[in-house]
Amino acid sequence: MNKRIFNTFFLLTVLGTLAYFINNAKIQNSNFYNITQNIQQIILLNKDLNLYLKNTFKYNNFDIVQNKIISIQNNFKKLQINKTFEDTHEKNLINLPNKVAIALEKKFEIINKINSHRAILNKSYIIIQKLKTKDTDSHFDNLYTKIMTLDKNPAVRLNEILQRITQLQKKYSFKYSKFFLKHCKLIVLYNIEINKSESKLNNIGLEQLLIKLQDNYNMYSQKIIQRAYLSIIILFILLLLSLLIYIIYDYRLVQSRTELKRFRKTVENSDNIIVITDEKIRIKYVNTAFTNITGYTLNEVKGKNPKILSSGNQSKSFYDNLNQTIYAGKKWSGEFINVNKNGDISYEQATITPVYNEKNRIIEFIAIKLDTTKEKLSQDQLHKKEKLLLQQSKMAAMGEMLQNISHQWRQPLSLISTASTGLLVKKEMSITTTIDEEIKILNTINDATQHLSETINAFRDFFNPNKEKTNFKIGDVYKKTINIIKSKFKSVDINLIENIDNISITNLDNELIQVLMNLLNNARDVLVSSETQNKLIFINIYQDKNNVIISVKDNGGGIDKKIINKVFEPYFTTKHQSDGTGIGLYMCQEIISKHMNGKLTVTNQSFIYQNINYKGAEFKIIFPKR
Amino acid sequence: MKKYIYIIVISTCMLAQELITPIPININVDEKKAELGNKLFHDKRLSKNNTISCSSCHIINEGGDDNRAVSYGINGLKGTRNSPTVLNATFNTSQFWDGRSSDLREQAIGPIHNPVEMGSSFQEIIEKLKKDNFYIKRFSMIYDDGITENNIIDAIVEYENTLITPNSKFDKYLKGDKNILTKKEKEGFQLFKEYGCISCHNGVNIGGNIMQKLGVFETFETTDFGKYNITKNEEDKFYFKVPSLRNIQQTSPYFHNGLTSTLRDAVNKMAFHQVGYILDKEETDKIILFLKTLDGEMSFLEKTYE
Repeated sequence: MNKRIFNTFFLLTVLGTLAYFINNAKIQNSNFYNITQNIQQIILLNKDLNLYLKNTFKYNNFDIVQNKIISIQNNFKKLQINKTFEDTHEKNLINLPNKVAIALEKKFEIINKINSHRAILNKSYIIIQKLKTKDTDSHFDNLYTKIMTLDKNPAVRLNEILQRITQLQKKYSFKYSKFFLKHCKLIVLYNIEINKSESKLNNIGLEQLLIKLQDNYNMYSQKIIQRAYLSIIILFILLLLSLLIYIIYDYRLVQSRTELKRFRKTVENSDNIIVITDEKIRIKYVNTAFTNITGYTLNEVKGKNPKILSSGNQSKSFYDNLNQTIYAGKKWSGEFINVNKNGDISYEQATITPVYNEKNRIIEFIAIKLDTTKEKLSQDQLHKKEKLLLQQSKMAAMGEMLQNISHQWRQPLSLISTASTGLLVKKEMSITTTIDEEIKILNTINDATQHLSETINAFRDFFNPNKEKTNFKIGDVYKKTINIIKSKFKSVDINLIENIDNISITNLDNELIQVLMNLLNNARDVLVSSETQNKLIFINIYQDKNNVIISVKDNGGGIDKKIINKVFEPYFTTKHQSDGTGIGLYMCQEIISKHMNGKLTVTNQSFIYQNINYKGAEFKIIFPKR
Repeated sequence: MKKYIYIIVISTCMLAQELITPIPININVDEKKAELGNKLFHDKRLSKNNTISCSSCHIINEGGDDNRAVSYGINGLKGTRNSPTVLNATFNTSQFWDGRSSDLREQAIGPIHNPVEMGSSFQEIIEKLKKDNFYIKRFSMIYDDGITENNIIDAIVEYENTLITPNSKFDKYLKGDKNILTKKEKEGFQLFKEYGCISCHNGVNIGGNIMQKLGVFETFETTDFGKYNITKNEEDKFYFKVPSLRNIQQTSPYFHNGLTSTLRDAVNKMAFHQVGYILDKEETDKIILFLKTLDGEMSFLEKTYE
């Protein structure tokens, strides 16, 4: 901007100077013209005067001579008052006008004298002609002729004539003769005077001075005019140059303005909240998104600290950290929990960037914030839902457990009941029993209760909310699972073909039990409903180079291709509403992938077992080795 | 082109030299200035003791001079020269008997400072005039800088420029009215030329355009050295301005010292001292008759300024 102002100033200066120079040149030019005219007129008038001076035998109207003199004087006055002569430092010109002035003064003086003399001379010539006619005497014929031809006879010696007249004057004293001779004498005397004056005139050298003045002045004016042209050309070039620069700047400015406009539009219409504050964090600008989301207009928040939006849910240290970061000149990113005008909480993902001026001082801060409230809320809801599902699956598992517990407790309970009832009957009927017998019965009861206790321990372990990853052996976990659900399998005559490599891993054992239970139960359910005679479940636990794999495969015919992709979706079930919740496999996948860093996959397999072809689904739990 | 026209005009003027030219009927004058000048010309405050005005010695309606041999200034002080007429003075190429001023502007200052004439100074005059509301008003109306020495002179000169006497009988004759002059008057003019009077008395003012030695043929008895008093140049002794012959019969007495009061005397003296010839009575009469035809119209007298 400064450059632009400077350039504008420069442009105007050049323009002004150019105008001044052109005007000056114009004035000077007309000045030169006037002076040249004046000099020329003086020269012409001077020639006229010289012409007049040669004109001897005539009466003169002296007005004409005087007018010429006045003309010359006026022209010369114009010359003298002309600034060009006052200002010039030109060596050839500086003293010339004064010299001319002196010469002119002298010349006029001499001309005045000549005028006076010539008046007498002319008058006397007339009078002697008059007197000659009256004087019949021929004594003066010779003198008369000489006098009358004086001007045509420059070689004549005036002094000799004068002497002759003096001689004649002594001789003739007659009235007319006396007058005649006196007039002749006057004529000769004034001729001498006029000759003197004329030689004086020649000595003045006015003509040479005037020509010198003209020549020198022409040279001088040529020089000045050339100089003026040169400066005008230079200025013109400068003008063009600055004009060019001006246009370039202007074009750039327009360009950057367009860019700025575009940027501004982007900011204004952005869905992101944009807040600009000054260096003391007082709001200078907010965009429409800000107004839409917070409910505050720019006028309401202008000059205020954005803290007015704070919900108070964030600690002082949070804000301190923010301030420290941005005042240190760094970019700050983080999440604000703010309240809008209506008091609703909103979450905003924000980036605050300080803006520097050219002196490297922070002048403002720009905050760009994204309203993440909706995402935040739906995330929360998802969490809640997941928790609920987990709960549900746990409950389902619990139901399963209770069923299993009741199965497993049935036999030991009946054992205890039988043993204790047998002993009781024997006592009532006073049948004596040996100590050995009694001990045997008591041992049986004890063993049964022991069994009960073990069973309950296994269940309790399962419900123990141990979220810490522990090191365990997969085979042991599998045994535990089988222990929990074995009762259900015995009743339906399913063969478990186990090929177990007892590998140690560090993970969540209870969760693995829950998943295995689900998979095994699903396999059992499929086999129960299938018409296959030979019901088989293959359990393979093995490892390859990268992974530890637990495979559960049945020969239940596989999963329909149409739905195989949907089996892990929540609430999807092939079972009857009362039997399945549809969350079992979904939860399995969630647990394996999200909590145990593993993968759960399903494929349909065809395979041969003991020379018989089977088809079935294979679920694989894959844990990558670290 | 202009140059050539100029040369042609000048050469024609040279060739067709009319020795006497008529006074122009009109002359360009600023009426307001002239009116103010008129007032100043007749204002006695221009003299030291408020007794003398320009018009004291240049009585406009009596030929522009004071009819005395020599003029009287303030306190009755007697001057040394005859008052020249102010009429047609604008056509003179020099002013004063000794020709020391080249124009009226210069001339006007002379009598104001001359101790035997008005004996005043412009400082005094301006002080006096500034007490007069009329002048304050008039000057400020015409001039930007009000009452100043320059402006006072300017106004007076402008008034003097109006004091011209055109349409004399002789002027009419010059313009072509050949019958307006009587036979004797024409003969007078012829003699005027023949005796060479016209060699000095020529131009529009019939004089006033050169200096001439008084007593060129026969010595003229006078103690006044004329131009010599100014230049102290021996050659300038007895050189006086050739006076105008316009309105000559109204401007007696004649010569620089008012030596003679009749035209006859004056003509005879001129013939004797200057021309170097003796006129007979008849010739003198004719010349006087011619001279009397030089009285012009004084229309400026009819002009009444408010």
